[in-house]
Amino acid sequence: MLKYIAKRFVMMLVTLFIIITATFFLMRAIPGGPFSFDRVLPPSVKEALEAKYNLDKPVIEQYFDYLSGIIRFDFGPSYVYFGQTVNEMMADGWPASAKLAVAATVLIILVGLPMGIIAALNRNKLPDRVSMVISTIGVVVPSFVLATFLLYFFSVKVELLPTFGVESWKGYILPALCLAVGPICGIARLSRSSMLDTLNQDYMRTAESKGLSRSRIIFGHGLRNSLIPVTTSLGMTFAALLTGTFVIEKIFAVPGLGRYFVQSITNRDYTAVMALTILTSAIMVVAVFIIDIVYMILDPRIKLYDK
Amino acid sequence: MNENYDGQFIKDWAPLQKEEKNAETTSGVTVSYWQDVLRRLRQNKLAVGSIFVIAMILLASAFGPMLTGKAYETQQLALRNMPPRIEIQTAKDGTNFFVHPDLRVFLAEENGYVTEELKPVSAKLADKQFIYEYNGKTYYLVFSAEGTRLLDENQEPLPESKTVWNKNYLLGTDSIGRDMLTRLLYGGRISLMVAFIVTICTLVIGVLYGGIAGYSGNNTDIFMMRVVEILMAIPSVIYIILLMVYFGQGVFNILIAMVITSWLAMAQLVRGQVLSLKEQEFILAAKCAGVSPIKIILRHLLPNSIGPIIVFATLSIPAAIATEAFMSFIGLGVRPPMPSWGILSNEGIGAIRSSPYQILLPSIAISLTMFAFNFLGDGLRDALDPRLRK
Repeated sequence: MLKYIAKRFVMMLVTLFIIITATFFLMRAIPGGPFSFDRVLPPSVKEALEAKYNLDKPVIEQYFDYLSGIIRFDFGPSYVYFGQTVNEMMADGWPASAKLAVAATVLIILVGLPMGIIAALNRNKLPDRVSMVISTIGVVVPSFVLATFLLYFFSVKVELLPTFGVESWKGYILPALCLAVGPICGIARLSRSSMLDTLNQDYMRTAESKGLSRSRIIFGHGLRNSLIPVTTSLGMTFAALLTGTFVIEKIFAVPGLGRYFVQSITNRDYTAVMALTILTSAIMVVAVFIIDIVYMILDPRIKLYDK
Repeated sequence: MNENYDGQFIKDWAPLQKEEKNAETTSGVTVSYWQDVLRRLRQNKLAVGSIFVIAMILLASAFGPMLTGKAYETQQLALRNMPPRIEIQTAKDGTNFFVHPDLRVFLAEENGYVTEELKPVSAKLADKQFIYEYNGKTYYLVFSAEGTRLLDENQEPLPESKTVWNKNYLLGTDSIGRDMLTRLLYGGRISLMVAFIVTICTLVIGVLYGGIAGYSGNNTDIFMMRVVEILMAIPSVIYIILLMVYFGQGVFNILIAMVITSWLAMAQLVRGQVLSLKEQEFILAAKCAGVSPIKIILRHLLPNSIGPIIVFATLSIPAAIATEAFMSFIGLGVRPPMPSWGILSNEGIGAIRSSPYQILLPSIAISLTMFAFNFLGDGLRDALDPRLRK
């Protein structure tokens, strides 16, 4: 088992290294460089700027500087907002994204899980049909399209919730809902099929023949065993939400990482784009790594390390 | 057992007539696999409906832009933000007006054809009034928190009003006066074209890569799949964003960025299929008969794994539409003024209060297309799955 974890850890480092390298050289290769404005700078100013940001060094040296910076969790200065570092800007965006992610995850667990389990327990009956139709719709519609419909209905037609901004708690409702609907439906479908799988297992029949009560069978045996794939999927979802969801944050003007990412793309703030790309990918890659190990601990039947 | 059993017995076993002799042989038309698939697909109403919807969307976006008689980039600034439904007010002398909610007055025809904008002669902002003159008559546009009203010279509301469809612009105009219908249809052309081309490229690359990896096995397989695994670990959306920042906006660039990131899953699928098939007896038989590897892949392995591949390709079309829309929405997709559904959503979201149709139209178009392709994909999966075959 340790051997497997070590192997996965090395794989993870290789992936991260490739991501950082690819990001760095792609961003460096963009023609123009960070200081080619519409207004032509005097050569001396440009040279001074490049010297300040170490852009006059050879690219390889810059690359190793950047790499060692990342190891110390230092993403360097912003090229657009002078005097500000990318770290400071990420620290600004972090709380809003995290709040949104937590709110959405709570929604997902509170709605998606019961929806799937109720559907599984009433297989092919009305609750099953209804929840599967809803979850098909929810999985299919992209989040920003859903956001526009919800925004139109709740903020324009009914004027119940604010159109944008997160000054009060009300501002979090719509963005969290938009973020949550897709995963809710995904989790509902997953927990339904996982629950159905479990219900057909032999140990469920054993539990029934032992004379256990129905709730004991469902919660003690069924739910516990069917939650394993759901937990791992939830982990991935939370990691994805944590890194900010670009479009939702942009639509609802949530001052989070995602909106900041989109902004830095529009502003051509390359260090910020690089930092956010690397950070987001790193969180995802690390999440996959952790989830794989958790999966193995939760379900001893899975022997990943045999591969 | 009744009494005359023996007699009955003999009667029961009388010699057969000639045509009855064939009654025991199972006859009927032999149904090939694909005919069977088609039959099952036809029974699925949702899938048939989806095919119909997809055909309509394809036809509309292919020929629609030519039929509207307008170009997608032509601006009519005077006729900006015109809604699809307009309220025509008629004065006593028969002149028709259309009052835009943002305080613009237009001359119109009764059937809903807006002709020109009327400029105010003077304004009394203290009384919240604009004064217009037309055909020697004076009209007052009074605006307050309750709404906007057009009054005639006696300060009375115009006698008649009715709501009709906008005849110049059936689905209205956007914020700089471009025809929404043309842009929606043309945008569909771009969005669907991107989705189809990406899917076809994905299919070709994925099938080749996965097929070769799966068939050759051993170290080649391990190496090729390690590469895929590492690339898969990078979140694809971020990867596309990065590539688009590097490439810059444009239809061709978004195509390349999406193909680069989307062939991986297809390669894994094909490799898995090939791997499970190549150990089966009919492949061994083909090998024994001396069939060349290329021919085995093309004639035996791929046709047998075509079902999951078709389903995957069908389902990756809506995924590609969503990705393109998403990228265009955050300003990294196709380059304006060229429309795509994502661009239209991006342009419309700012006007969700004043002109909600500008965001709702592309959103509806995207949702409808996504539903149709997903239902078709699900239907195909059910129809192709041999385990459901009876």
